[in-house]
Amino acid sequence: MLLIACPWCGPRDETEFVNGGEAHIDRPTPAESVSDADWAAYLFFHDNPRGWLAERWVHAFGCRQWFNVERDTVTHEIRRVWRLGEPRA
Amino acid sequence: MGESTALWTLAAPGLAIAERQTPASVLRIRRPDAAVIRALGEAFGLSWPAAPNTVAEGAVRIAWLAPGEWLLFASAEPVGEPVATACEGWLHHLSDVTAGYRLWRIEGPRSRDLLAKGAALDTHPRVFRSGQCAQTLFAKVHALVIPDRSGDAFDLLTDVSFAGHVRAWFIDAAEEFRA
Amino acid sequence: MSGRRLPGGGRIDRNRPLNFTFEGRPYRGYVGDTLASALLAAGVRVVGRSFKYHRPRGLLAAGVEEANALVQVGEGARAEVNLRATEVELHEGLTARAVNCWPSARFDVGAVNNLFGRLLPAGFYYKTFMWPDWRWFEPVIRRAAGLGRPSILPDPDRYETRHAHCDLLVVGSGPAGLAAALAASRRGERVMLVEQDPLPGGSLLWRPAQIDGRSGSDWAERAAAEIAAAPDALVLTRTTAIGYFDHNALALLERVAGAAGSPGPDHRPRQRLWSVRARRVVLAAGALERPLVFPGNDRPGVMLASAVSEYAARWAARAGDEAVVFTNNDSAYAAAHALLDTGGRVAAVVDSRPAPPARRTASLQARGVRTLLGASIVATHGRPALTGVTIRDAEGHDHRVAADVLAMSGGWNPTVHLFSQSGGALVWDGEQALFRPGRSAQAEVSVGAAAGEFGLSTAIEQGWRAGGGEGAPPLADAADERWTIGPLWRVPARGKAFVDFQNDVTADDIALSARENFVSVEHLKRYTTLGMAADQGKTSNVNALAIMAELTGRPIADVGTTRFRPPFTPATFGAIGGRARGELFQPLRRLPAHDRHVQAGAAFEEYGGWLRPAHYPGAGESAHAAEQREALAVRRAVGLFDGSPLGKIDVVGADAAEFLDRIYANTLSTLKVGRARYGLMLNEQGAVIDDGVTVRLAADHFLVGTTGGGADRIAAWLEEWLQCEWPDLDVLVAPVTTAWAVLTLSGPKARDVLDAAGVDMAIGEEDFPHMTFRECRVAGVPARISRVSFTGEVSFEVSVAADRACELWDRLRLAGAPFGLAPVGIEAWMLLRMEMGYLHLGADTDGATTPDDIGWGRVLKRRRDFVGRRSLTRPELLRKDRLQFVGVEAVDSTVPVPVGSHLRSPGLPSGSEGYVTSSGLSPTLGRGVALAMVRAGRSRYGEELLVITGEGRGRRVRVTVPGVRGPGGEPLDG
Repeated sequence: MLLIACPWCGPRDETEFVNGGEAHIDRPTPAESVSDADWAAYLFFHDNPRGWLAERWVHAFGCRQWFNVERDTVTHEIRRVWRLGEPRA
Repeated sequence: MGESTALWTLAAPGLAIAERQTPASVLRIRRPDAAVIRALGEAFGLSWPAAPNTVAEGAVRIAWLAPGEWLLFASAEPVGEPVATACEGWLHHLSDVTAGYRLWRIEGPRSRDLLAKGAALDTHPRVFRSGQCAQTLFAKVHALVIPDRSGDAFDLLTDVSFAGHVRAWFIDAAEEFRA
Repeated sequence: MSGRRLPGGGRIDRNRPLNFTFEGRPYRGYVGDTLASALLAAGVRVVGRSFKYHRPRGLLAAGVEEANALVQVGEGARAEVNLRATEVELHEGLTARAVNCWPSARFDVGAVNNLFGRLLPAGFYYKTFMWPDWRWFEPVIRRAAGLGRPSILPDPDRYETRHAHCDLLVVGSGPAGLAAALAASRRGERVMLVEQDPLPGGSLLWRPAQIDGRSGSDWAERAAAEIAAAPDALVLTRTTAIGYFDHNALALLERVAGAAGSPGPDHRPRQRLWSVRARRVVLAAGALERPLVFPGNDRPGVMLASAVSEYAARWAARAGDEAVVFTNNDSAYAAAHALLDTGGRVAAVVDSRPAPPARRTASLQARGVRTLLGASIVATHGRPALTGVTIRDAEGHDHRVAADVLAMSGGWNPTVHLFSQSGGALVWDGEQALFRPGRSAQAEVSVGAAAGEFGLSTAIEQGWRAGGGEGAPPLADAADERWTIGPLWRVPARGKAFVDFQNDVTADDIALSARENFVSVEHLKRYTTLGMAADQGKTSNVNALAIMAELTGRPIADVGTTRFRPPFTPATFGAIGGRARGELFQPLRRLPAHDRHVQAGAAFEEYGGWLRPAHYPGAGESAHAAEQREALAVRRAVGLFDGSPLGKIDVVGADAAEFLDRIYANTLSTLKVGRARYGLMLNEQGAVIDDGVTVRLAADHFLVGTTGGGADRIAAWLEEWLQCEWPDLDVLVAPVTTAWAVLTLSGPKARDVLDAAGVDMAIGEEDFPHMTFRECRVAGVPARISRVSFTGEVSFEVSVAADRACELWDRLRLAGAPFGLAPVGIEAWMLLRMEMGYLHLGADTDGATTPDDIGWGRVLKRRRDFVGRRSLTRPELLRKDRLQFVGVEAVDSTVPVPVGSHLRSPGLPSGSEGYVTSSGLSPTLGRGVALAMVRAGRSRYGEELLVITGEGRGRRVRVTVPGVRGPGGEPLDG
């Protein structure tokens, strides 16, 4: 039962959020010039580290805003939360 | 303020709940800056709740829902003009959602215990007071919670389509307080 | 009652006796007794039979670590099985019986298993009962296995849930926990103190102590009262912290109604599950004593030394008259003294250490107790309960001594379960021969015995500081004594020496596991089932892994422990489910005109999270007949359908059209004001995720329509793209689905009815053509009307504010009565669209269906990008043999083809060409109509296939264009 600090609403129970997978995935464009391999990477090949992962969450039952979280996939420690568009580091 | 008749009520030791329809509109503004916030505040005679999860009380109660999104406890008609004037030049949209919500007033010393049965939100007066609001998952549905000045009462806003479910939930939850 | 109840003392109320039965026999106890203490005081020595060997067993412990006395309490719907007798509070009329024995604990038929012990070692079911066919033995083994018979009647009790937040959560109300909670509550913090026992105090309830000039139990009572009186403090007794989760979230299980099996007063819940989020946690759950592993250590009468003391001090129940104490550490000496103090005799103290602290042995010798050093117990005697033991002295000579209770102590295990669940790392303390908390992973600290600190003063101080206490902590009057231990993991002698009492695992089983190379502690656990019983190895885990360490020549720290998992003690499913059952399990949405549907006699079903009318059966009318009648009404006259769940999302702004062109697979920007267009939305894999009709209200204002089940999902989808990918688009999205009610008139008479109801504009075909949209008033109610059709008949989708729904329903029904207007439910509505060959997302499509699969390949935008476009040219999506949306009709039959049935080419022995996705009986034509997904279906019209699964197997069907054709081949539509 994670406690996630929404950048707008502060720390809230995990049940208010929905996970959106790996963060900072750039959508390849224009479509015509994207190779099958690159498109497949965008769709299906995402990082799954044992350790720190940058991921997206949306505060679905709160302010409905998307934001980024850095979470350790083993200990579930969350060390950083930042808004979209803000620099990661 | 004259209140409409309650659509449904429940009473239990230390607890009273009343369900009403409430005039409501949602104002959305794209990337509002301090100027339009100020203009809105002046138009409504209050300090516009720009900070997340805050509520302002004036001629109309205004609650923050999201960046650039506020719930006005008024139907769109009476507030349309002041909103349009203040937001001139900004992309904005006012939706009348009076028919889309239900307002539940929960009062009594056991209000917080009742809320604690339905939501993981911390409602202790030290952290949740009049002037604040919070959206959360309550009784498994999305809800807006607004604490009252008295500390013993809360307004809860849920989607109208869940009214039947929320009533059933209140009836069941109140059983414990009758013991 | 036999004379095992001490004449005075104990925290029992001798003025309030209680009657109870155990195994059908009547006994008496007192308020304050547990079932275990009352049985012990009554002289009952055999309380159950072991799991596998059905050996007679007595009480081992006094608390949660009890492994033998598993009982079933109560009868009928309130029967609860596999409770530990040590945790059952005695109440008047309690009925209990031992589990796992028949006909009784004293005379158990299952004891025959003990005779075949050599055939039943660890893992026997993989080896012994395999030939000639393991399946012969399985039913017998299944019936013999398991403990207790739970009730299959509905549970009549309530189980509540509650959330809570605090600054400090303290688990355990012994001296350390009380000190922590006291300190924090005096600072005005929000404190929760959790205690699994009915009384606060922990070991202070039975261990003699003096704190701040008072007796330990007195100090505990006052401290707990002071904490409970603080305004922001909560003291929960009878509450076990069962789990420690991420970010200081803990689960507490409160037994509200007191004794198990007792009927609670009305409304009072039986149990309450608390979900707590704490800023800081103090773990003060104490420590549990370890048994010693020696032959015959499971005989009734062999008990943990601290339990013998606790029974005497807390419940005035003496475990026996003639005791022997067997120990490898100092704490059992206190038990020997306590036994003497109650007037019992201690025949001998057997200390496995050759040179324990002199003051310990001297104090006992001064009281006339014989002490043997460097000695051990190698056998116990007596049937069914203990009558004597065999002691092997330091020289190797055996002595037989009479005894009816053997108090054993193998050391102490700090209760680290919650610490470990929190992610903390354990360290092996070689000097104290125990695992204790090392590095914490969360905002938590362990104090007192739970941290391996057994000195009372130090424990109190640790708790005090952990609670933020400033200044002097409460003071224990006696100085802390040093405690020493000489590890003895097993006594090398012949005979069954039990390690896990509940699952009947012996030291020999561990040796067997090692011989078979299951040497990792995780393998050891699964191979022998050690630690897998309801007690989760509380008395067995450390002994087992230490024995394994010795056998394999590894340090104990290297062998390590298995994972600690919640719950700490067994929790009921009722408590976990709480009140989220029946109607409250899943929130369902109700239609704005719900009451009108009820009045019209609707039969409701759940569709996409909404409670909607499936059909409106008349008196005595079957569901099928109602569906057929309603569908016919639409074809011949007019029907009234509630389409309110349809998603409605306002999209406004200069970039509204651009945004929708990026989201939709077809073009929306060319839609003219006042017109409606069907749109397909795809995900990035190219699969169709929603369809709906969108109308344009102005150049910069669209009203996006979605499916009823997709409204929330698509609103969130639009937000995600705007926030994450295209934040610079000048557009706003405003979902308004539930603020509007949608009532649809459909049928040849639809226009007549609308006219009769009163509408303030022209609605003739030229004035208000198909796929257009108008704002107007219907019967005086402000409305929006769309001319879209899901049925193939002329249709008017009338939208009004949701709070005017009932009013509109009434006006339309009144206006429609002369024209034969009938309310139409979902089932009939689906039949109508099936007749037209219109697809229904989720029924005819799945998570991989693309626009081309459903015949919409040509409407897609050619030149510009949209979500999912790139995927449409992936090789997988360009295959020629993809499933395509077609119609299916039965050959020579009017009976509908079953939904889901697979289709195969005649003559082929295997494989599937596809399957039926929608099917029903067309009332218009009196025969079955079906839609299907068939491989390359669009190039196979006219081809015959066979149904190969379900009912109708072997029936011939023909692939057709979707939609029913009339006799001349013309499409059937309005």
